[in-house]
Amino acid sequence: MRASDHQYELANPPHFIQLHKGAVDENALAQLAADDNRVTAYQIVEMIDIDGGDIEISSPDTTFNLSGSVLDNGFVFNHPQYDSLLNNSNQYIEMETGQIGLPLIYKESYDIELGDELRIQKGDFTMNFIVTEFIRDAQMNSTMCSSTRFLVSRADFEKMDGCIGENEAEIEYFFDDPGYATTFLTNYENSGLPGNGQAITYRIMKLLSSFSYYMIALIIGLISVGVILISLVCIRYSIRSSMEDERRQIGTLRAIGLSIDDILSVYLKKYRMIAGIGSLLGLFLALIGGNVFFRQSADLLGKAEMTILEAIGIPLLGAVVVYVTIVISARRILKKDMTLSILELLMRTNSETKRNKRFLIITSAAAVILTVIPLNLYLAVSDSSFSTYMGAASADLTIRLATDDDFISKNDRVFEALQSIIEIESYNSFIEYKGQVLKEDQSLSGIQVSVGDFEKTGLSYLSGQSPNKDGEIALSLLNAELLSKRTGDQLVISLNGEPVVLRVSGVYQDVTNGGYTAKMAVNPGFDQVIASDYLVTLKDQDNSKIENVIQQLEEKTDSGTKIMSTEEYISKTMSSLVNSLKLASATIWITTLLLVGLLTMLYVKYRILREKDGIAVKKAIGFSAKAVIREYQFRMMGIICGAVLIATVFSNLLGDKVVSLLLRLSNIGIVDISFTGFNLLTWGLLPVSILLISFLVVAVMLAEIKRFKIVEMNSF
Amino acid sequence: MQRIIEVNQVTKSYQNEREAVLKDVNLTVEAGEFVVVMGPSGSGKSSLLYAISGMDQVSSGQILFNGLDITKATDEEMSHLRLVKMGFVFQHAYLLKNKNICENIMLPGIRLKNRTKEVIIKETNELMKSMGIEGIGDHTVSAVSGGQLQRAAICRALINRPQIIFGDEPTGALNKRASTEVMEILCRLNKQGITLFLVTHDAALAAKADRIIFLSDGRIQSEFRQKRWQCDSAERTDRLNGWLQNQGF
Ligand SMILES: Nc1ncnc2c1ncn2[C@@H]1O[C@H](COP(=O)(O)OP(=O)(O)OP(=O)(O)O)[C@@H](O)[C@H]1O
Ligand SMILES: [Mg+2]
Repeated sequence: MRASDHQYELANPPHFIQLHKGAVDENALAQLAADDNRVTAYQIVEMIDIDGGDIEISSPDTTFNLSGSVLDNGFVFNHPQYDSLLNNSNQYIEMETGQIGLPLIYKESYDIELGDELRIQKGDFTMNFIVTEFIRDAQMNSTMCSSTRFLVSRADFEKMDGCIGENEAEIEYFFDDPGYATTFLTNYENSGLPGNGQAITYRIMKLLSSFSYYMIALIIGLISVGVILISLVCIRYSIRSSMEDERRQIGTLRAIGLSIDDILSVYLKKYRMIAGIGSLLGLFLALIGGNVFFRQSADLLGKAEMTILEAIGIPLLGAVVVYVTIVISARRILKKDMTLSILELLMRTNSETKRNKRFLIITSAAAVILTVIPLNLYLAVSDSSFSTYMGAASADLTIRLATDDDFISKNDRVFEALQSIIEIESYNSFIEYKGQVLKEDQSLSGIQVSVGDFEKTGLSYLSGQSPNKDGEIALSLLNAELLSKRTGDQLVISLNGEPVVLRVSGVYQDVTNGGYTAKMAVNPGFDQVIASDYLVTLKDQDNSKIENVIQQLEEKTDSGTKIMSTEEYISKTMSSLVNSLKLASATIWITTLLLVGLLTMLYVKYRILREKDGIAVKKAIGFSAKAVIREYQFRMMGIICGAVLIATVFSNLLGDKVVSLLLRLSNIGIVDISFTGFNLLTWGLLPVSILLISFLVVAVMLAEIKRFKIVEMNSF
Repeated sequence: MQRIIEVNQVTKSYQNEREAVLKDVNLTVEAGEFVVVMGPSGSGKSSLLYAISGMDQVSSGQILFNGLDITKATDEEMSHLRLVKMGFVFQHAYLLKNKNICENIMLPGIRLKNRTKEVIIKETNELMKSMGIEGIGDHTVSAVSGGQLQRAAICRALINRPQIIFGDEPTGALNKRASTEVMEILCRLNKQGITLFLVTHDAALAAKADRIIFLSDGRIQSEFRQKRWQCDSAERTDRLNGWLQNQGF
C-alpha cells in the first residue's frame, strides 16, 4: 500500500470529481465550495477529449493510431497544487510547447518510447508533439478507469481548444476528510449543479488504481508466510540434526564431571552465537533484498520513502523471530537431552526417520501450495468469466449513451441501428436513472439505478440474485456497504418525496461506472435519466465480425455513443492486473523450483552424509550401490509424491477459499473469487514440474552413494 | 583342493599417498583354509583385506575369486558375490542403528530373495541360538553388550551360508572372555568348512590358524604354516610367538 498511498499524497488527487460536457457555471460551483465548511478547495480541470483514431504515434520503426484503445483520451495542462500529473520520478512537471507527456499505461501497452512523435489530426487541424515524459496520474493510473490523461503545455492546450475534440470539465472538490465524498455527492446532485458525466469519488479512484497492487501484495504476503514457514522448518531440522551429533560429546562432558547447568550454558552460548550471526546475516540480506524489491514496486506504483520503522523494523522483526526460534529450539532439545542418563547420551541412536519425512513433506507441499494459489489467481483473473465478478455483463458488445441535449433522438438512432444490422442476434437495453435513497437517519443519498432485464446478463452475485420482480433491487458491494444493507434487507427510496420500500434481492461486485451502482427489473418511477446502456449479442462471435459490427454501429449512430467490444474492454481494463499477476506467478514458479531444488539437494546431501556408515555397512554385506540408491529413491520420492499430490488437490480445491478470505480482509471490493476448476497448468504441469525437479535432484545427489567406499566406515 | 582366492602382483596406493601401501603382493587361499594376516600397525593389513574382498580398488594386479577377476567386476556383480559368497566381521559390529538385532541379521537373507521370510526367520533363530544370543532378537543395537553385538554380526555374516568369512580384528574391541567366545565360534565355523581370512593382533587367535602371513611395509615378508593336528594350543601359541619375534614384531 505504501507506494500507492504516497503517490496519492504528492499528486493531491481530488476527493470528488464530477465530469461534465458543456457549459459550466463557475460561480455556482465556487458558491457550493464556500458554503460547505468541509470543502477545503475546489478547481475545474479542463480537458479536451480526442478520439483515439485521431491520435497517431510514430516511432522510427512504425506508425499507429490509438483507435484500438478503449480509454478516453483527455488532453490537459498541469495544475501545480491539486490533481497534479507527475513525471516518472514523481515530480511535478510542465510541458514546453510541442512536448507531450503520455500516460504510463500506454508505454506498457503500446511500446512507446521517449522521443517518439505524436500527431493529432482531424480534418484540416494538425498538431505535432514529441513524447518527452511518461506521466503518472494518481487519478487515472489504472487501466480500469475508463479514461486517461495526456499532458501538454498551456499554450498548446489553448491552440487545441475549440478546434478539435470535445471539451469536458472535471469539476473537482477537496475535503478535510476524503470519506466525506459520498455525502457531498448527494449534496451536489441535489443542488442542481452541472453533471452530465460520471461522478467519481476518491474511494473508487483509489480502489481502482490500487487494485493490482493489492492483488500482488496479497500474493507476496502469501509467499512470505510460506518462505518463513519453510525456513523455520529448515532451521529446526538442522538444529536438531546438529544437536544429535553433539549428543555423544555431551555424554562425554558429563562423564568427565561437568554438571547439567555447565553444559547447558556452554551449548546455549554456542547456539546463541550461531543464531545471532545467522539473524544478522539474514537482516543484512533482507535490507539489501527488500530495497531491491521495493524499487521494483516503486517503479510501478510511484515511489515513496520508506519510513525508518518499515525499512529496518520489519526485517529486524524477522531477524528476532529467527533468533528466538533457534534459541528456543536448541534449549528445548538440550533440556530434553539432559533428562537422559550419561549412558544413554553416549549410546543413544538417532532414529530420525519421522523428522526426515516431515522436512520433505513440508517443503514439497509448501512449494506446491505457494505456486498453485497465485497461478490459479492469475488463471481466474485472466478468464473471461472473471469480468462477471467485476460487474461487467457477458455480452459481445456494450453501447452506452450518456444524456445530453439530443439524448432522445440519439437514443432512437441507436435503436434503429441495432435493428438494422443483421449480424446482431439480440440485444438488451437498460436505462440508468438517478434516484434517491432515504437513509435510516432520514437523510437522502443519491443512487444510480440501472433498470432492465438482468436475468440473462450473467453477472455473478456475491449473495442473492438479480432483481426480477417489481420492488426488488440489487446493490453493488460498495453501495451495500455504504447503505449497510444485505440481501433480504429493505431499502427505502424517495420518489417525489414519498418513501417507497424495496427489497434487496442480491449484492454483486462492481468496479464499473464508479462502483456505486444498483439494478432493478422494473422502474419504480424514476424520471431522471443518466444514460442508456445496451448489451448486444452477435450471431457469430469471431473478432472480425465484432469489428465489422462496431464499424457499422459507429456509422449509424451519433457522436457521444460509446461502443465497445466486451472482450476487448475486459482484456484492456484487466491487462495491467493480468500482466502483473502473470509476471508474479511466473516469478514465483521459477523461484519455487529453484528453492525446491536447493532444499532437496541440501536435504539429500545431508541425509546420506549422516547415514554414510549405514550405507557402507549395507554395501559391505552385499547391497549394490544401485540397490541402496533405489531404496532411498523409493522412500524419498514416495514421500514427495504423496505430499505433492495432497497439496495439489488441497490448494486447487481450497485455494480460492483462502484467497477469498484474504481478499475479504484486504477490503478491495472483490470479496469472492473462484478458481476456474480443472486446468492442466495447476493440476498437471505445476506439480509435475516440482516432482521432476525433486526427482532430478534426488537422483543426482544420490549418485554420490556410488562413490562411497565401504572402507570409509572405519572412520567412526 | 579348490582355490578360492588368488592374488597376483597386487599393488595399491591411496590417492594422496606417494608410497604404495601394498607392493607386489602374491597370495593364494584354498577352500577350507584358516589364514591370518599379522603385522605392525600401518603395514597394510586392512588394505589387503579390503582389496581381496573387493571392497576397495587396487592400483594394479589381479585378484581372482573362484577364478573370477574381481578387479574387473562391476559393482552389481561384486555386491552379489559379497551377498552370496562372502561374510564380513569387523572390529566393531556395524549393525544398522534403526533396526533391531534380528532385523539386522536377516537383512542379507532378505536382500538375496531366494527363500521366504519365514525360512529366514527360522534360520536366524537357529543361528542366534548356536551363537548363544537367543532372546536378544528384538533388542535395539544400543541395548546389548559388545560381545553380543559381535556375535550378532557373525550371525549376519553367516545368514547366506558364505564360502568365506573375512574379518578385520574381529576380537579387537572385545574383552578377554567375549574374545575367547568369538574365537571359538570362528574356529567352529572353520571346522564346518567355511574358509577364514582374518586380520588380527591377537596371537591366541592367530595360533589357531593354518597359515599366518606376516605383512610389513606393504609386502608379504614371510609365512608361517602349521598342521592342525600338530601339538596343543599352548605350544602352538609359543611357537607362533617365537616366530613373530624373529620377524621383529
Ligand atoms: N583411506 C585412506 N586414504 C589414505 N591412506 C590410507 C587410507 N587408509 C589407510 N591409509 C594408509 O595406508 C597405510 C596402511 O593402512 P592399513 O589400514 O591397511 O594398515 P593396517 O595394517 O590395517 O593398520 P592397523 O593395524 O593399525 O589397523 C597406512 O599408512 C594408512 O595411513
Ligand atoms: Mg587395520
